[in-house]
Amino acid sequence: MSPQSTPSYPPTRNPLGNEQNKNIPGNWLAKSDPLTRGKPGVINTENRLHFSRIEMHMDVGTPQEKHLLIPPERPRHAFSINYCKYYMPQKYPAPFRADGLPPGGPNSCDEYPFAATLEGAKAAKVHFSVRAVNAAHNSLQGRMLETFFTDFRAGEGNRFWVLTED
Amino acid sequence: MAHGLHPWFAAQWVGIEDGNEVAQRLRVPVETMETCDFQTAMESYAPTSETLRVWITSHVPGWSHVLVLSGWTMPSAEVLSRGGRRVFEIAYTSGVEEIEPMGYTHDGVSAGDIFQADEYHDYWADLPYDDMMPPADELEQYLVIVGRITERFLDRDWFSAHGLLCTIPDPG
Repeated sequence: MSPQSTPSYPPTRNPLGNEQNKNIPGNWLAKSDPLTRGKPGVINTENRLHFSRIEMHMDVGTPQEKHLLIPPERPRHAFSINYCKYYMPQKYPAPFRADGLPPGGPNSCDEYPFAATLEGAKAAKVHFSVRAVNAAHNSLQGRMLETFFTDFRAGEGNRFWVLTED
Repeated sequence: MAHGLHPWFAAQWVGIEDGNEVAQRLRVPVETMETCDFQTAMESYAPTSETLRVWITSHVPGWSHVLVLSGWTMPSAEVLSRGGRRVFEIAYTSGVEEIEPMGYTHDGVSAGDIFQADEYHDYWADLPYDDMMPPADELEQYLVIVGRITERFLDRDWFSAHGLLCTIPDPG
């Protein structure tokens, strides 16, 4: 694996003209492959570490090159780093920090496929999406997903699809 | 999370001593407020219910505690912190193992998470951290940190306290 294919080197946000569609599973309407719940206690954190709480090196070798680093003496600095802040900084209010990083709040970086699934960011390579959403709404979505897991007894290894509604 | 707060715990520590003022800032109609104990408040605990309902208790001099019982949003930390006040916020969902970094809002402005505010460094600097730390352990640390800052932890007395059960109107 080359350094550029690790989570710390997100694909550039600048259009290159050769973009391809992502193949993201779990869409009931599209009859795509199902999602599979992963191992509780492990999978969620592993998936989230593929787009958040990591050092990021962006647009390396270009005039826009930028690095968001985690000083060894400040490991919790990682909390404020995620892909959303690179791809959609306009979703975060100013003032930004000296290294160009938005401080966070009121949005958080949500992802699909869900972090609770084997198809999440860790396995998805580039076939996942992130979006800065209102943190309270992100929390609500988590509660609803948890309710679904409980009500339908969807445990580790169980497969399911998602139907979105307005 | 004990005491029935599984699967979701969301709370704010507000730098306002008077719970009635907290409720007032959140535009809770006085006639709808009800004083009750924790067990009664928990009858309104509904993690996926849209109605924003909270239980406001006295924490220590200078601080109130807001336990969120239901709602699709959180009480506005910006509103609660106006006038030089501080608000610390924790939101944890156990089933999907998700926790937001502990939020800090001061004087109406979100500072992001508390770990970006140098003035609180000493409150958490000795706590261990690794990036695979389970969110439940992270929650424990946040409760320690906010306990240190406000000089009171969520103890048995809190669970036996009486507080204001409030339904917060939709700001529209």
